[in-house]
Amino acid sequence: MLNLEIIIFGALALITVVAAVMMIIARNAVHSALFLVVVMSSLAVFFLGLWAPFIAMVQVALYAGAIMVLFLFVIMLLGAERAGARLLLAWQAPLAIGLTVLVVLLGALLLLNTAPFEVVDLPAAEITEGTAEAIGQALYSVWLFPFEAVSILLLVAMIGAVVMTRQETRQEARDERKKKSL
Amino acid sequence: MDVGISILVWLVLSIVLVFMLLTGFAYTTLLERRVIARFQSRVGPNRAGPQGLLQPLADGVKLIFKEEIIPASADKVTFILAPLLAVIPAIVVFAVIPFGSSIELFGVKVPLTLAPNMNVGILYVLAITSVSVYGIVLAGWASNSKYSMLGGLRSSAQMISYELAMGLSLVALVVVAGTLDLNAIVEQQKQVWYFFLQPFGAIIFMITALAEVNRAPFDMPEAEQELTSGYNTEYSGMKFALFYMAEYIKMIVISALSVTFFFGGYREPLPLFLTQALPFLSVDHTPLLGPLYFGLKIIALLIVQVWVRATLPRFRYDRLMKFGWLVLLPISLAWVMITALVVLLRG
Amino acid sequence: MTGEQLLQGLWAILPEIVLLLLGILVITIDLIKPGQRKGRTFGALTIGGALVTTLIIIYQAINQPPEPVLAFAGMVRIDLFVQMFRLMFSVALLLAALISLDVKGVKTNGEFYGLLIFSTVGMGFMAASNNIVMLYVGLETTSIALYMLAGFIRESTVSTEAGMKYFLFGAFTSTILLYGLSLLFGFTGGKTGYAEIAATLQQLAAQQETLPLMVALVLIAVGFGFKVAAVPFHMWTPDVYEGSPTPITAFISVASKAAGFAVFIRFFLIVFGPLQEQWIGFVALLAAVTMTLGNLVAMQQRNFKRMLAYSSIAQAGYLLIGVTAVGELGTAAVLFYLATYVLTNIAAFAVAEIATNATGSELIKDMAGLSRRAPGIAFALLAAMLSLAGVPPLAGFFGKFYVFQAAIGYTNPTGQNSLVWLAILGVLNSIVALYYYLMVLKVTYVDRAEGEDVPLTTSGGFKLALATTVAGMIFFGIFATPLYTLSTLAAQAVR
Repeated sequence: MLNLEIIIFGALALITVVAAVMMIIARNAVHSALFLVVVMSSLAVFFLGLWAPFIAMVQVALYAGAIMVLFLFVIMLLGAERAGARLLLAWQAPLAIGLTVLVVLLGALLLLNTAPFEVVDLPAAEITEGTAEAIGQALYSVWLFPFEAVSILLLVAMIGAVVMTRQETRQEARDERKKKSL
Repeated sequence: MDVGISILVWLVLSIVLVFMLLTGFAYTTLLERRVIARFQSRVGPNRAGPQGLLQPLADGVKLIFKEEIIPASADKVTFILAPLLAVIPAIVVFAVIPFGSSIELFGVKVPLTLAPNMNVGILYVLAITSVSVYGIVLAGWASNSKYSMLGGLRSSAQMISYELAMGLSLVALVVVAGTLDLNAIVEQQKQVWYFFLQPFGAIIFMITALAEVNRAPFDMPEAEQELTSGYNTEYSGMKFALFYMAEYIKMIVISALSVTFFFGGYREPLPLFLTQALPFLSVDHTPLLGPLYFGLKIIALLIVQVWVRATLPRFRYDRLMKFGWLVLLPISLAWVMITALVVLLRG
Repeated sequence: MTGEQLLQGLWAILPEIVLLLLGILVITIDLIKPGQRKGRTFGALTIGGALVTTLIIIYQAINQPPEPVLAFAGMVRIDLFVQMFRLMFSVALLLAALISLDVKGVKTNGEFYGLLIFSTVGMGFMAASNNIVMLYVGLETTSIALYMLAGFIRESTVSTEAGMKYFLFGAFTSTILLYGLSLLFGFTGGKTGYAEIAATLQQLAAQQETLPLMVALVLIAVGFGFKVAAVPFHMWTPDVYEGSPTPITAFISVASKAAGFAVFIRFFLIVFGPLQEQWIGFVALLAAVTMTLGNLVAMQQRNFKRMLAYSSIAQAGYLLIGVTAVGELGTAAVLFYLATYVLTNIAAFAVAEIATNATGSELIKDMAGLSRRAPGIAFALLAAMLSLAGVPPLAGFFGKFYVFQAAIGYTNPTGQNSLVWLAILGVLNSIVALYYYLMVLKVTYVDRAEGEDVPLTTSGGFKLALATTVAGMIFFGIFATPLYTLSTLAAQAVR
């Protein structure tokens, strides 16, 4: 049973990492976005594997679905998919690869040099923690305050988005008036 | 139950289901053409087989032998991927839709749902719906054609906008039902359909569902007159057939979902005194009747969809967006609040 | 949660609630009032609301129970330390609104004041957070509002650039912070409360398993370092300070920095308390590099706002000395320093805005002749510059004095003092800094310019703000003891 789990995990992890790398190196913004969708979806499967069906579904509905569709929408609307066709900062790629390798090596060294962390099997009772009811209970009891505070955060972000876009139209209106008066 | 048997049951069930869906798709096209012909005082296809019953088969053969064209400037991989991405979500939604309670077969209890009693069923439906937009968007983009692009953009904007109201209408339902499990929701409708408890929710759901699957009067993405079929302009042959299939399977899906959420699912559509007088008509007594009732209800709603298409002209695009954001969204928000308040007051 | 607990919690976060309602009121009025007749409604509302909030905070602080109030299942912790930071935020909001009243492009804009208020709410949450989730939510609320404010003047390319740079840097460092927090969450086995994490870290530190924890610590320090503009996470500072609308620059430079230090102190003293020996060297290095680089680069600046940006980096360095000198002395010094810094820097930026309006240039050399055109404003500049440089009898002097004193008085657990070098470096840096602060004064007081006999008129908002801040600087420079006593009490409440 454990082996099956590890095989599934390994395959998924491979897909996720490869898709994530492809997302970065794809030269077409639409392809990048699609690889990100793959990453998001496989994360959802990870959540399922952790007995968190609620988070898994929300992950697909919000990230793989709504948010990434908006990404695609904007990329297509602006025709920005080929903006990165020319390499402007070519020297950054080898540097980034070098740094990544360095960080991975450092991390490996760090892990080898420290006493291994204790691996604890989660007790079976915690499987119920991932259900919609359990999350609802948690959100409205212990996490009530951060949950409400997030609504302020979202309000701020929303106002900000409106401000950022509305001012442009004001400016356009002014330009329009100028043109007419000329 | 033994793991091997349950996997076997599951496999057989999904094969039967997919087969049913494909047949259903084929005959939905025929149904639509025949019904619309009646609305327009025509006869409709009646040459292939008795009453035109072999028409879908003829169509299929024709499409298979058509030439597959991939435009030279298209993004090849995405172009081929798009039709698949359109069909798959349409089919996999059925995993959580119960089309019957459970039946006894060769001494094995078989639940007539692929993933029964999943306590995130509604979320699963919403998740798949939100993913299903990719097929159309990518088809529009990959074709590298202006018409297709506009169709794709329109559809993504439309689907994102209507998804909100759709989600909210289901939130109101969940507030009443107190569960996200579709089987439980169906069982709760034993006495009263949720359509009567949630009239606004049901109507909003059905309107937004039409918009989600880009059916008339919300068929903006493929508006023939302005976009020469929109996102699928550049598609031909089987790839076109896949889009066609996706559209009709989605019609079946939204009918099935509406039935499950608001019209009692596979429960008998009969008044209580009738089932008391003739108990063998009840699903509790004869579980095999469940899929039958379910299918009949779906067909009824399919006819309603065709009726809507035959009756209502297409919306103008800006009106469509306005309707989604300024009418449906506030109404559904208010409806959620009213529902929550009523549920709270009733304890 | 019982009703009584709920009431207690709501009372604890009353200042934030008042500000939140104020923000919503401002936004709503902006929405329904016709465009031409807005005038100064929003500025006046914001100032009034900030004043009310300040009074509420003072009242709460006076009646503060000796034990910290833990509200909402321990998400929020209110003690004197938090009250003092809240006081700084609301005073900064008040002053920022005052100097916004006559700034072109923002003065009649409801959203501007709304976002300003919301970001203050976020800062309140940051300071009061007692849980890493709450910390992150507060931090993001603050930051997102400030990103918008930095890029608020869409017609100006520098403002747009400022907003964009602030956003990109902020988003990036906030991700790094989040990564650090998630590592901490994992290492401690799913703990989110500060006290619980600290207890677990205590155990891990006892087992000598600190190396992975240090990774988390460094990542978290990156996030906080960005907020307080410490080197090497300071890259955004000059461009954002130069490009943002001046009231926002002032607000970012004081309130956002103070909020950054609030979480920095709380996190490093409480959560990372068990790892103290490991991080002191790291933060000391951060402090040394920050003040030295800030001062050296500030000397070469010609643009006044850019110079103030690098000066603010250098000030972050001095403040980090106080954090390094762990303990009541150090924390009290930081609190005192920040409180006076709020007054000083807002005065400096107010003068920058006035000078820019008058001459149309932000360059230091174009401020020549200011002392003859507007003696009062030049005097405010004099006070601000000298206070920033740390010259007695201004408040800034005591800030620096207490910080260096804390560094000298610091003893590590083995009874040795390892921070004297930092104090000496700080003093040397202050001498270097004196050069560029005095250069500004030389230009304004000694250099001659054309048209210097034309008197400069300023509006009431600026005058009031300058008068308040200068009075504050002089008052706390002469009577430092009450504020220092408050800072000490607040510092005692951290633990």
